[in-house]
Amino acid sequence: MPLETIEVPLAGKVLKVNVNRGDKVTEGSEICTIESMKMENPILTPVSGIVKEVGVTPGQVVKPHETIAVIEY
Amino acid sequence: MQDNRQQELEAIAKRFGLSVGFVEAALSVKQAGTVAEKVEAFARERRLIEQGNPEAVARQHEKGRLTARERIDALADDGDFEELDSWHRPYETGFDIGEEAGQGDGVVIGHGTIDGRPVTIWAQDATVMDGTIGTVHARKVTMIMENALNARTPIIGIFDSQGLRAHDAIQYPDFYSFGSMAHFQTLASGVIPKIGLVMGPCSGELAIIAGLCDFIFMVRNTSYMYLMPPASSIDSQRLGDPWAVHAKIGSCDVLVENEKDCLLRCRQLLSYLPSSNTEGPPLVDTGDDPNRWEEELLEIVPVDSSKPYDMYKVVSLIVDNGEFFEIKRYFARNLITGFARLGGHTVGILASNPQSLGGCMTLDAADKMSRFVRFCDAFNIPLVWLCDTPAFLPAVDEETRGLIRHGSRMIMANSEATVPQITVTTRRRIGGGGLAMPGQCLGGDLLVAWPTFQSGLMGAEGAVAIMHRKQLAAISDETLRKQQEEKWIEEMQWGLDMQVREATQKIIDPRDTRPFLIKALKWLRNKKQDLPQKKHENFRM
Repeated sequence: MPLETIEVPLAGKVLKVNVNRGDKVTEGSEICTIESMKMENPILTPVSGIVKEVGVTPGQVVKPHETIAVIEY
Repeated sequence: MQDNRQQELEAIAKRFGLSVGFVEAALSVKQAGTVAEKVEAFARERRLIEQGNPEAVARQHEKGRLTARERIDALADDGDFEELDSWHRPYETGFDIGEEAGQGDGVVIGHGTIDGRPVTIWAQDATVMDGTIGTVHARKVTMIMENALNARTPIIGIFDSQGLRAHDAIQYPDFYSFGSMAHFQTLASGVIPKIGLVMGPCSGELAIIAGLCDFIFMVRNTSYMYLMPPASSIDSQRLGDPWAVHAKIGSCDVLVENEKDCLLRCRQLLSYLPSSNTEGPPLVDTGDDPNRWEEELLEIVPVDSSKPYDMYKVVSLIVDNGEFFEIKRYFARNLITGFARLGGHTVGILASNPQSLGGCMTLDAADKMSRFVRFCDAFNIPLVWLCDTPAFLPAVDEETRGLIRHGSRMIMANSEATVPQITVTTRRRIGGGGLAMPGQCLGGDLLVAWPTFQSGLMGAEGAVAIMHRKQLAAISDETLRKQQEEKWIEEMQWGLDMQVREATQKIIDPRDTRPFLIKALKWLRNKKQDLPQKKHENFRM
């Protein structure tokens, strides 16, 4: 099964995390929200599958390319 | 006697690289005494070619792939395909290529119809020598490309090949080769739509031939595409994985789940496009009411600009029957591009996506935009922009990857487009974002906005900090300075608020967007705008 790594697209602060390890997610569902540039940026999964890893927690300050989650699809 | 004859046939079969069955059929052509018998005997030959080698066909099916002719059957209207050059065999190279029935030299070419409109198709046949490209193969493809260009029909290429056939390539002159295929792909660019369906291996120079298509489709799991051979640590399927090529690299325009879907989606795409650059796109009776007023559009965009919303929803409420054919869905998601219809007429939609990077423009989005705008402009498809973008994304790696090169190419593409261009700003049109979505200064025809409109180069705070810097610095008492600053910010905000009203030609009711656009497009239908005479613009690459 291939893995899709969802990375932080832009520097900001994690507002909330919607998934846990082992969760089943469907394409387009929201993984977390990152506040950046005065905007709330929902981070959506591009694939349907199982969450293998979650790399962020609420309140965390994140930089581009850090891992948000790894999805097996 | 019988044995002797069988041996003779086998010898002939071997000599010409044919199956014994085919030689038998060829013999009956020779022996036919009447034209009718010859017709029947040739038909038998043709059926044998079309059936192909049953073992190779079974191998192809095991891989989850259809054969070239099965694909064409699904793509073209029922039974409406005329195959040409099916008898052509590979050149004799003196090497044993170890295959029988090399007829067609690994590619099926011809013309047919899709939705009753003529198209030209070439499909690599992986059941014949793995679809490898020999001189005859390349000549067939080159010539059908030239035919398509002259006949002004769209051309669809189906890629499924292990690449160059070394036996041919090392000893024949390269007049018919990847080079000639690439040349005709280029000549046809902007004249006829060119669609590439990558449904199997597509590597090396062949990937460039695919790259020269207007739209590339790829089938998940059963296809791959790359230019450079993979290092030993990574296999072909991973290097050229359709998902990566679509979402990360961006060369695949439409990613599909399986072969049937691929062929169906290709038919759908063609329904939006004209056959050539001298026609308009086909008018379709969609049955949707041009005056449809959408209450829901009033509720979608939050007034608070920190809140994102679903731009796909906005698009689907505006266009005919909510049908939207998206191009490059997962590449640069901050910009949405695709085809739809308004009042039955095809339009190209370009929309900011506030759910991704806040709708900022990026280098990849700039590429996505220029490519889409250039296609629509070449093929007389009006553009509708739905703008909600703050600026270019302020990020160091964007800049160091060449944001200026890509950004200026985008501005050039937008600026020189002469098809009707209408921009509806749903919320923000701020800073560099305004350049990305063309207003009148960039050759756009109409610039309107929803009541949630925000515009300008910067906010009131920023403007006061710059324009009143010296006066503020001269006030030594901190409380007084703060008071004065707040006063100036309020004044500045009033100025900006008033300016917003002049930064658009009209504030429209979101619910009225569809009727407004249909009326405006009707007004602009015969738009004609001549650019200064030149060979071509000089894109910054």
